[in-house]
Amino acid sequence: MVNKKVRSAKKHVNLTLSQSILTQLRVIYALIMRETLTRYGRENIGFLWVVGEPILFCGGVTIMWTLVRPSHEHGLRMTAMVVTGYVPLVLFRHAVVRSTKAYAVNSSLLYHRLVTPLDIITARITLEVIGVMMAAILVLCGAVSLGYMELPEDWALTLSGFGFVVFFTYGISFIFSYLTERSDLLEKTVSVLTYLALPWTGAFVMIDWIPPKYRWVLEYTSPIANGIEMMRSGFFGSKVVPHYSICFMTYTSLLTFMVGVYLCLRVRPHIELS
Amino acid sequence: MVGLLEANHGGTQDTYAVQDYMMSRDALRMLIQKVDLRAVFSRSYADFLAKFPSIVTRNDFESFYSFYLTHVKAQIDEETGISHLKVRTFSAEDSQKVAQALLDAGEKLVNEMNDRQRYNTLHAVQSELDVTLKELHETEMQLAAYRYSNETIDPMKQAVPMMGTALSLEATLSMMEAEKKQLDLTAPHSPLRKVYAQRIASIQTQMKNAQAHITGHEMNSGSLVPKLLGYDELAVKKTIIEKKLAAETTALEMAKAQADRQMLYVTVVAQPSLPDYAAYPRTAVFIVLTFITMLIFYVIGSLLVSGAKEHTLQ
Repeated sequence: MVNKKVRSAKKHVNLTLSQSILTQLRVIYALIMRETLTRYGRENIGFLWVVGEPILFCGGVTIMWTLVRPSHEHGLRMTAMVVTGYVPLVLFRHAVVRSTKAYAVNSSLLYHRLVTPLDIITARITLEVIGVMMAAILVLCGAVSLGYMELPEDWALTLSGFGFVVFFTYGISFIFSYLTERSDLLEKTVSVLTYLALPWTGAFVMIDWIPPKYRWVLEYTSPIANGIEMMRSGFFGSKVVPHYSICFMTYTSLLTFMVGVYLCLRVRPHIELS
Repeated sequence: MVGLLEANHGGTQDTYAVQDYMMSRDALRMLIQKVDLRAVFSRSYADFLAKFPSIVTRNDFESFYSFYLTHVKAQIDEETGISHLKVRTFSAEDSQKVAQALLDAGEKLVNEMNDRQRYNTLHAVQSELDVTLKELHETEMQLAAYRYSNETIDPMKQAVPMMGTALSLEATLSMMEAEKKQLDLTAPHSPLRKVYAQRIASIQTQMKNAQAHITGHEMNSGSLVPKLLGYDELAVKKTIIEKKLAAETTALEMAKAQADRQMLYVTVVAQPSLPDYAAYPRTAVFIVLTFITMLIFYVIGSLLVSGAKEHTLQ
């Protein structure tokens, strides 16, 4: 933000659309930089905690499950199942938890005209996404080099599945950032809700394993379960029978994103200034 | 256009075989030959984007195959075990024709699988049986050769009368000896004693000969013991082979019965129908969907733009 102040405010008067988009990207970038510092400081490994936190989660859970559970479940390797399930789950939970009261904490930033609530929340979620993705890469490298899992059979499918999860996470976090700003009750219960939503995310099952009668719960109400299913279908190839619909994921994610962006643009009057 | 088929006999993997075949390049080649699939998909009235080859597809077999996969679908309903065949072409008659050809080919495939399975099951058992029969024949021949070379039919049976002879000789001998002893006591100088002595001696030689014939140790004595040994070996072998033969005959009968039971069928639950109006494209659905999608994109776009616009100061 320091260099922002040096620049004259006149530079930002009456911008064209492309210029304002560039400004917005600069603001988001600056906010990400600021967030890494305010959250992790310069002590010990500093901003590397961005990766450190999720890697402790993903790595720890993966190691625990690999040790405790049988090595194969329904013919799939336990480690691969945990990694493909836990990475999106950690992303989803952390993003939603980070989005609660995101504005109240950063309300002092809104003093600057160039910083909008949407920028703040986008910066937060993006930081989370970057952290989880790097952690995922490290866990994947570790597990593969130790021989506990194989590389995906179809990278494109795996990555696009993850992409859908990321997209949906943005939208749902936008919505939660607004709702928690309006409702204190929701703010207090968000961590419980994300925990209760665990089965709904389908992180630890394949939809094919559950009785056909109940498949619709994951197949047609949970975009995350769809995304994870898509990732696994790319990961395991023909060893699994995937149940996902790109159409469903696209529409739910787009709608969530639309509502989320709309709410974020309308949140300013409801932010408690601290 | 929906045809339904079912493989009888619970094994769904056979149903998968039919399904996989219908979605394979082999089936495509068959269709190109039988119903001229290239022509079906390049009718003059088909629109230039949807037909094959169109301006967006290459004109080779692989592209045609991926085109085929989007127009023909064979899916198994996991719960009922019935598979559904859907064929989409540019006219109702074509669709029906293609579906019928696919069903016929599926039936042919199942029949081939049946024949193969029957052959595999029966062939193994039958060849075992043949081998055993041959073994039996060989053993019989060996036995015959043995009989020729040893001039004996059954040494055991032969031994019985020879033993009888030996026994009667022994009885005669003991009688003679008793008589001679009596003569020794009552008339020590009788000339008959010499006669008796000679008789006893000749009977003893006879006995020795008879014994040698049955259990003699010297070679060329014509003893039955070595003959019996060789004969017994062959006889036991023959009994074993006969038992094996009996078991294998039963197995063959069972295999035949099983093969008859395992026959697969393609049962056409519903014949390919001839739709009386075009089911595709679903115009209304597509228009509504396009409208909604564009609306979503427009709203998101305008929201993002207004979000970006907040970064310009007035």
